[in-house]
Amino acid sequence: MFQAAFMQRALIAGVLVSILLSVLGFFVVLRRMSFIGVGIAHAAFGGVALGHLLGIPVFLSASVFSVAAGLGIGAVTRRGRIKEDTAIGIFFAAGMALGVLFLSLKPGYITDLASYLFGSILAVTPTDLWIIAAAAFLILVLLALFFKELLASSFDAELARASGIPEGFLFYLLLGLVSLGIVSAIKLVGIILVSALLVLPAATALQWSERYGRVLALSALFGLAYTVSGLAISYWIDIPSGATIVILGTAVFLLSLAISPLRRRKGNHPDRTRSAQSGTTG
Amino acid sequence: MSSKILVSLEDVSVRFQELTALHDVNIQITAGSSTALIGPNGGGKTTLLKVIAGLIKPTQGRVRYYDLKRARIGYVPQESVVDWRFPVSALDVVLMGRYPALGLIRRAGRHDREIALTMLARVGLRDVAIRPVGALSGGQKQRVAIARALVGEPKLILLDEPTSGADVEAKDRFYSLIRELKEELSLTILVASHDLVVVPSFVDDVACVAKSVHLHACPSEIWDEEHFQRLYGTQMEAIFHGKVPHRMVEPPAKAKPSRGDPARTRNTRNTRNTPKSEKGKK
Ligand SMILES: Nc1ncnc2c1ncn2[C@@H]1O[C@H](COP(=O)(O)OP(=O)(O)O)[C@@H](O)[C@H]1O
Ligand SMILES: [Mg+2]
Repeated sequence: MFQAAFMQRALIAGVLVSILLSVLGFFVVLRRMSFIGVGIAHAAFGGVALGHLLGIPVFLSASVFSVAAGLGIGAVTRRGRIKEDTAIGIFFAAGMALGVLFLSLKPGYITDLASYLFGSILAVTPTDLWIIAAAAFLILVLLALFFKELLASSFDAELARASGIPEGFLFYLLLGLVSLGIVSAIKLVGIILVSALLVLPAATALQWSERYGRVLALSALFGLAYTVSGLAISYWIDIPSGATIVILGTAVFLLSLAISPLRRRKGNHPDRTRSAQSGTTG
Repeated sequence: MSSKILVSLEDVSVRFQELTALHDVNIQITAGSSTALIGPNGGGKTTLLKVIAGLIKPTQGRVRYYDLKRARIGYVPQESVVDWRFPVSALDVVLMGRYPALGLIRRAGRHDREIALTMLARVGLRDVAIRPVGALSGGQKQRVAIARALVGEPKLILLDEPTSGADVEAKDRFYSLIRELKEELSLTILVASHDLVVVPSFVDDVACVAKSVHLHACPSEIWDEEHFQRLYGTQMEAIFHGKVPHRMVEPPAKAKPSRGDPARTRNTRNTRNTPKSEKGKK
């Protein structure tokens, strides 16, 4: 089944994109930024439409839109004047509205519009594959370079800042990388569903381990498994790839939630007084 | 004793919009000193510590650091705004204190783990080192934060109300530990607290923080017999500057019968006397 050239490309792209989004998703989920992913993906729609209108590479224009939306949401929220959900709602809508506007300016029907919205295994061209590979390389290298600093500032931003870690820079870096990661996955999974691929693997992995190394590895593994099997299923029974991947991922997440060995603590804060009594010196 | 200055604040004011949190503060922190910042809720203790930690920029005035990199200041916040479900162990959190020293890319190695484990043992948490940090009690989390601050090999430690909510005995144990660590690691200590009973007996200096800061050079002066009666009687003003509403800190009526037994506290002082106050007293 994977002999067909388009299927091989889809598979390679799927492997790259799923690992990429799972690793980014690890930070996104832990920092409770999941909804930002939704906003960034939808804002990218404006870039997709603009690319078509001007006849420039869609990856380029979509990247500009999503990175601008990602950094914009980050900046507006960080200044503290506007709440994060409000900022996301606005960037989300503005990106989509621009997309609709640009599309209306272009006479005729855009054939692969549906594949941008819903994802398609047929859509990945050899050029796309190179772009995805380059983006994956860049993002993974930067994540590896700053991993421990990102971990520390995701856990406790204030303490990270107090110890001299450039927490603000890392926040924007992460947003930029997430935006780029989302754009590189759009063709395969679609704007509407791409943020699920960001969130599901890490959310599922967190049901299985409380050690970040394992959560990260499991997250990549889950993402890979969803994507590869989702692509295979979508090929066999001819259903959209993005939807198949996400339905699969959701099923595994729900199953994990039900049988999780951890039964996640609900942010318990044991009584401080009692614990302080239990001895200071050891 | 050396009187090398580590940090000095010159005419520092901090305003949050209309509200003045600190006004014209001038203090110097000398190497090897231990100072309690005492004052009412909202008096500006936390703000002052954050200014020194480099987390808040003064609206006016300046902070000078002498021969002291920011990484060499260990800040232990009153409460961390963190998601305790974060998949890290106590050891992982303590290791984060080593990150700034490691620099980019380099990961924490065996040497760092040894330092972290030693420090965890020192604060009595060796047994829970690999447990998820969220599973620890409030007091244990506090000590994890202290171990994290200490593995960065700081010169100056800033503790923000480290024992709020703990009972007198637990506080006593806690500050004994802090004082031992101070000697072992030649630390300089600045601790914010509303506690008038236990804390002052463990430090060399007491400073009152209520928008402005007043430093008292020697607590044994404040704490000698006749003053003590006055302090927990009606005349706190004699020491704590007229207009400052210290009754908010420690209502005299309540403080006296419950735990304001001067005998006990004085006893604590005598058994753990620093050479300095020994000389002053007998
Ligand atoms: N980020 C902030 N924004 C606005 N006001 C603040 C902020 N931080 C502190 N304040 C105000 O500054 C004053 C001093 O607060 P704080 O330093 O926390 O006092 P303390 O630690 O002594 O209780 C308080 O009135 C508090 O409400
Ligand atoms: Mg405070």
